[in-house]
Amino acid sequence: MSRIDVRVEDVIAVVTALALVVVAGARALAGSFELTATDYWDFSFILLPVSLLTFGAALKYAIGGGTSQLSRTAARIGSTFRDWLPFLFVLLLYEALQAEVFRGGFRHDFDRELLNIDLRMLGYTPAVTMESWISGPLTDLMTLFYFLHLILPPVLGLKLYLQEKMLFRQFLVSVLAATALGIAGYVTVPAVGPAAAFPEMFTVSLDGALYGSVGRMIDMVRAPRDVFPSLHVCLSAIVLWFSWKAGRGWFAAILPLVIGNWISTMYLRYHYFIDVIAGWIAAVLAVVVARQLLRVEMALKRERGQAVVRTGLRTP
Amino acid sequence: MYVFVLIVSRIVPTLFFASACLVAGRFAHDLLARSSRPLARFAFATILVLCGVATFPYLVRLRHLVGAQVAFGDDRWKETDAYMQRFEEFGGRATGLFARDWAVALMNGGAFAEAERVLLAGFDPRAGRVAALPDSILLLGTSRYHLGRPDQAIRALRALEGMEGVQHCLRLYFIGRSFDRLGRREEAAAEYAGALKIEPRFFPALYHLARVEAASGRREDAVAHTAAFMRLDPRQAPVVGPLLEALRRGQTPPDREFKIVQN
Repeated sequence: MSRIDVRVEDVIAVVTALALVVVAGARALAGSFELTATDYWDFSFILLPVSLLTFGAALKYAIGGGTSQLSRTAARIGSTFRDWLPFLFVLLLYEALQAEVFRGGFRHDFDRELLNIDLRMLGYTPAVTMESWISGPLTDLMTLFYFLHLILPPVLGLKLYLQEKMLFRQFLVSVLAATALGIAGYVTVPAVGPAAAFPEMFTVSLDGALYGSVGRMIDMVRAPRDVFPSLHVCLSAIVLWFSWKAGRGWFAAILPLVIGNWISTMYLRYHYFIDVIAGWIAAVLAVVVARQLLRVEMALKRERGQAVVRTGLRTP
Repeated sequence: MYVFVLIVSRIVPTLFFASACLVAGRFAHDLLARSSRPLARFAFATILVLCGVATFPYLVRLRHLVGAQVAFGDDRWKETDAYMQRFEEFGGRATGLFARDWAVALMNGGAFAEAERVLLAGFDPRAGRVAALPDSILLLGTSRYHLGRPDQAIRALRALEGMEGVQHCLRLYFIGRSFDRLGRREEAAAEYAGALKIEPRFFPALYHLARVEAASGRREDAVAHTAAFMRLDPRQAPVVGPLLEALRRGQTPPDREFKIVQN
């Protein structure tokens, strides 16, 4: 971090990417693989705030009267992209888990072990006990809650971006750290979730107007073994924490949505309870790690600034 | 929700394009304003109009896609087909989920040949192979089965790998139906049994498994499988009960086609 303006989120994103490349390379030794994802619609949710901010800057330039400057507009748009790029990069890392090397490379799924932990803790796994709640409208509502993990982070991100850039960065770094932890979990504890691993446990089918189409859409972009920890729970917990910082109104509005999101992960049979707990722990870890990393970054930058002043080598 | 996703995913490129147009328009304006202000304004307006014209077909296609998805969500198959046809007329190419949903709408309306065309047109051909959604290949195999081409159906369905849950169950079921059509009963029975293993409550697979077993002289197996199914899911007794009774009376159930509506 001494010569160029490297940020903590850049470091996390690059380290996670390198780790994935190493794993992929090791697994690829036995054969070839390719990225098989066919549709990256989920990126549009991260790009929507970027496109809105870009459009705002372009509009301001276009109708801004005689004082408008192309260089200033370009800088503003460039800095918007720079600030949001790590979000996109980390989503790309998640998508990379769809590559054949990760899809078929696991020798053992840990579903039995995760289920056993639930059974030891609770005597059951919530996905099964929630069967008694099942109804079409509730399934649709749960699908909606489940889907919110793609909507809440960019919406809150935009709010924080406009409110306070440093808070936005704390949020961004927390999300990046959480995703890195999540990917580490998927690679070391691969599992497919109760619905796919134990279909015989369920006697009632999930059905709803939204459930089929949205579920199919989500399945297209999700990693095939993304169970432990639950990134849905982890990211929504982070969103909840930062919504508190954004303002009490935001927290009050987001709290029921996040709780619904947590319940939906089990109701829709994607997760065991232990995944949810792991998601909460990962969220706490991510927020703490993000704060520490940003402190380190600030300290390094402060030190660098002082050193530059002392040696008199500051250049324009 | 799907419509919402569709709109968001199309708004983003539209906003980026509009931003580029605004910047280009203003840049051209500032460049020309030094020599002639009316000319600068004209250039600004022209660039914006041209961008609007360029965006128009894209937005019209979005309108038809949204219409098709809303109709599809309400099980209005003919309307879905009509919207998708207009989408194609405006230069759209149905790939991925759009091709899949269009094909489902056509198949639910009994238009299997047209569904096959839509699916094939939506595939992304690569050297010696195609890139397509597993769901679309499943539909391709199913439509070929319904078109009376069981050999081709088996080839398409067998090309699928890594499927799970209901889709995998349907895949095995239709491979079984195709073998059945070819008169290869033992292979058909194995596929039906495989489908039941994945979805133990999928009645069509049980029905044809029991039918094939009874027709092959393995009536005891047929009765045992049917009785086990009834114990597993007593709520299906109104349909399973008569089958069980018929098997116990020594009758072989007739070959019949179950209408499996997808959405």
